[in-house]
Amino acid sequence: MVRFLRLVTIIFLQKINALEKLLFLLSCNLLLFISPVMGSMGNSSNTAPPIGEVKVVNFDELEPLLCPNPEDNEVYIVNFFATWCKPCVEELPHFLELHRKYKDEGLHFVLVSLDFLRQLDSRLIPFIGEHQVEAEVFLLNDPYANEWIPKVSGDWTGAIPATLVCNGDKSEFFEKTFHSIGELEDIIKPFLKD
Amino acid sequence: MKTVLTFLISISLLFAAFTATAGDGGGLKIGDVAPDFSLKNVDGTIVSLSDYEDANGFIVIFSCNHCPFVVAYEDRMNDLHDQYATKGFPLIAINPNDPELVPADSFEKMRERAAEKGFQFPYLLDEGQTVYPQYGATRTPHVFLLDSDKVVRYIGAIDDNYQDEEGVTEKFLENAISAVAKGETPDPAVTRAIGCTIKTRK
Repeated sequence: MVRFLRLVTIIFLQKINALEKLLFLLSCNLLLFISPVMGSMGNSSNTAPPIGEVKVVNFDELEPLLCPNPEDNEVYIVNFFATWCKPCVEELPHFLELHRKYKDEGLHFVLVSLDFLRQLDSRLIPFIGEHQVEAEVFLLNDPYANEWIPKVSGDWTGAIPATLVCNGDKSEFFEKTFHSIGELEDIIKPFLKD
Repeated sequence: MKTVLTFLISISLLFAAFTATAGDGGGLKIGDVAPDFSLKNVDGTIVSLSDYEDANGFIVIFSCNHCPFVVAYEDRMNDLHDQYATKGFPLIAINPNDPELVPADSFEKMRERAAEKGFQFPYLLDEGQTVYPQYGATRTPHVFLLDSDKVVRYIGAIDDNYQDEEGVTEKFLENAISAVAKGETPDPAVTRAIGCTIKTRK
């Protein structure tokens, strides 16, 4: 869709003169400015990004986003997965269900994909849409895993799926597959406020 | 008294169970002697470490068919075999997955993959999944470098870039082999890498 709009814009810009171009670009910027404001008006409690959005990051970019704002006391559950990883795909619905149930209590769900970058458009983005993944989704494109795995957790040998729960300075790491929402509730409850 | 004893035993068993599953504990550590095995190779023969009488060491790699991280390393595994088998460091690949859970990792499919990629090294099936827990392998690919006395000298990744061989800045395994060949201690002796979890019902 974005690509299509970009294409239309380019064709359109070629057809008009400079002054009109300036006016057009100004109005576009105005639209860009207004639309998020309008979008949030009818939907003020939901700050999740639109489904299907994936940010490509290296570990230095990802690290501060894994458990941000320690002072706000919110709980983050971070799942490391890949679309080709069968146990990861099987456990994902439990994470989505958990997030739906506890987001009003301050639970954030962050999904970190270890898919290859060349499969971003062909696999990851369609997968996120298909599973209606309502979360912050990152593609961690950083091959130097020996450097960053220990920064996620000293207990992580590198197998996926893997899950991190954190709240401020407190965190717990799990190199395992979760088989039910109950198992996930057990690990987040100690982190959620009473 | 009896109940107290039973209680203590169950507590210690519980503790043992937890420590065995935590992180990479429960398996081999640097300096441990690796257990030998007798596993079926894709060519139908049975392969053991003791078959290699004059080996200077062993490159044992827990591997499989289905995992994209393994696929990314298959050519590099062929190169490692070409380079080091003649120097007395045979490469032995072992598929630890339960083929009933991952049909792509069945013995028949292993034979097909070995033929397609022209593996010149043994590609063994850990039938019954008895070997990988003794080694403490948690993922594929997962490398264990042993010296001639089967002492574990390096555990971890082949190199530091699974995506792109051109982007490799540190050849962990090759450096470790060179160190062992010279009688030195590999540094780093342990590295980590992303891999596919080993598929088991246990």
